[in-house]
Amino acid sequence: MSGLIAWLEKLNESDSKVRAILRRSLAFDPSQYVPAFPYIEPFLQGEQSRWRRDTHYLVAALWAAHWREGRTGTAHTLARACAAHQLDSGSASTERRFISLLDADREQLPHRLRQMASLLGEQPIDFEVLLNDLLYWNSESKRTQNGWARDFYRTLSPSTQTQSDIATETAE
Amino acid sequence: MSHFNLIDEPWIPVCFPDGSRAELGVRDTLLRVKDIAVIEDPSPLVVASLHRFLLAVLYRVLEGPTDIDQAKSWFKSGLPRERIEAYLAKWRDRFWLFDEKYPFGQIPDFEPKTWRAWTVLAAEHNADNAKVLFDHIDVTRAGTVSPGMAARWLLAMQTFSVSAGKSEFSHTGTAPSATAAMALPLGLNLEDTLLLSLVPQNRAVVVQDLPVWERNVDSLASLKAGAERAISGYADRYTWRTRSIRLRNDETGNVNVLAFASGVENASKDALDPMLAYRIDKNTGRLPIQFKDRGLWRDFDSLLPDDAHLAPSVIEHATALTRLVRERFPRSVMVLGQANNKAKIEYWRMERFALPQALLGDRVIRIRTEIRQLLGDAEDTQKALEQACSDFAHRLLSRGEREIKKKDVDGFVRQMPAIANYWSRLEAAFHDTLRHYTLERDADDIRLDWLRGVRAALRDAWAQHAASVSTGDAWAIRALVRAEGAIGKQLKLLNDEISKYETHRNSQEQTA
Repeated sequence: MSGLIAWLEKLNESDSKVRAILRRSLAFDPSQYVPAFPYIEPFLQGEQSRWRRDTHYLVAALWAAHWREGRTGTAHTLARACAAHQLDSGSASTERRFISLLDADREQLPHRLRQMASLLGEQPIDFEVLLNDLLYWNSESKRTQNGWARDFYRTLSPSTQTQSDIATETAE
Repeated sequence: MSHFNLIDEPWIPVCFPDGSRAELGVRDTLLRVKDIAVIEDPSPLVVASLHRFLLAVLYRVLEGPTDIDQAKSWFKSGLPRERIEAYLAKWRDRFWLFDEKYPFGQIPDFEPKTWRAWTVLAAEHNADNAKVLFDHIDVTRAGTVSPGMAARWLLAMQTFSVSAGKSEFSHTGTAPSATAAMALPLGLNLEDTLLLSLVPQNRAVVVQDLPVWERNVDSLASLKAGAERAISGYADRYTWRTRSIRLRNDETGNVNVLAFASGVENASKDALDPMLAYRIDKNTGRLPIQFKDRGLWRDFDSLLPDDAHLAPSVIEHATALTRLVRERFPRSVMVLGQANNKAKIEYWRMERFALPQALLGDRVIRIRTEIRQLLGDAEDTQKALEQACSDFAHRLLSRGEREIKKKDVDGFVRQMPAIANYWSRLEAAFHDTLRHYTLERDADDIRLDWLRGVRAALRDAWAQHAASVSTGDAWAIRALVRAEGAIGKQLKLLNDEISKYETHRNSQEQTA
């Protein structure tokens, strides 16, 4: 785990402007909003990969936008939070949005993630895990997308056994 | 002028232990039978019919065996050379392939409306029932075929022809056992192979069990009227005149044209063939086991002896002969024949299995049940895989909302490789299991290993499917994840079953 969120939480304690600036950066393409640089660049020391840089900025911005005062409860993965939202609202539209999110390519991802995060405003989300997952978004095997799908559907119907369960069952 | 005597001329293709090959006549084949490894031909139909032909000769040479003790005695002493020589000398004039009065397996006075050339026949029959009988014919230039080749073809034809409509004489019938799977236990050499399948017939039967060359030739009149009679014994069955045939040769001695029409109809369809396995159908009674699309290994238990005596007699006999001579127990059994689907011949097959050595022990009857249970385990798990595939297909095609027809789902499942992968992995595991079914082997050990194999096959087949799908779009991923439930459930069942064996084994090891 990268520790970005822990880093930001610490910054947040001493500097009240952090979240506001990062929130504003959502209106721009990731890593294009200069005022956010001082908060993220030190953490990215020497990082060259465009995707990795953009992802760090994006997740930091989402974290900031999603932050609520005094929120309690365990932070879940995004997928689990989506499933919980679907169960609460009873609407199947969440699933459709989730599927659409899974299908997103590099260009579409920031926008769809923003929409999804705002939809899930009430739930605590684990942004550290989100960051790690997003870093692998473009892998050939689509491991993040597959993992999220499993997470989502397992939460939706707990009786559904999924591949990770299958992996556990066959570990000898 | 009589020409090409099957007793002396080379036409039976054999293979020696050193790998060398030769073609031998009947006399040399039977006299050198201890030195020959196997009969070998590219066509399983020729291999099967050659064995049956030689067995028919032996039934007449020995005028028996009439009981198991006689069979054991010959098994011990080997085939008697003098009797072979004497018999072949006595009936020599019935074995000329070309002869005025008794051409082998043919009707001498059959003058057809048209003589057919090989190429014409092969072309005609490539579209229908007799296709497989011509597949192995290598028609050389000028469309002639050697006498040896013609003789092999003739035997295969008489053994495997199926009904094909009207002919110049009458309606063509189906050879007895033409569409069944024939079992042939393989011994250390050709002598053992033949003796292992020489199932005793009682004396009353032996006396009138005449093969085609010892009978009077059926008259043209009777053949045209639709000759019919009951099978009188194994030698008769193995040399049945399913078709009326006449071969003609040219100046080079090769066969260039031939005539064929209907032969003798089998009036005793219920008579049993010692090489066949049977099953009981609730409507039609006893039916022979046939080759199907799926490999025969999935019905392998039907080849093993049990109380109902539905297994091939040759396997029961081979087991009885070698019970006290274990080193001569047939290491493997060949199963050969053709498969038809609604009277259309689809393919020919030869499959080979290790025979469980455990058949020699006391557990004989239980082995068939045990193997049935193993195959049942595989089938149960396949159902779960099929369910998961079907679920996947349905979800993928419907994309969450569209109405989908069952036949579209079924069609999709059929082109998914998962189920085929599953069975092909298990087939390899099954052959392995058979090899390990020795006298000392514990039934629980066998089942434990098998269940592990089934679990691995399920997991691997699904994993391969998942890998091919998981790089697809979100709908495919969704369909995959939602369909996995059935797999997980089945894996849990298998794991529970496996644990039972493992804990039992562990506690046994501890007390040991």
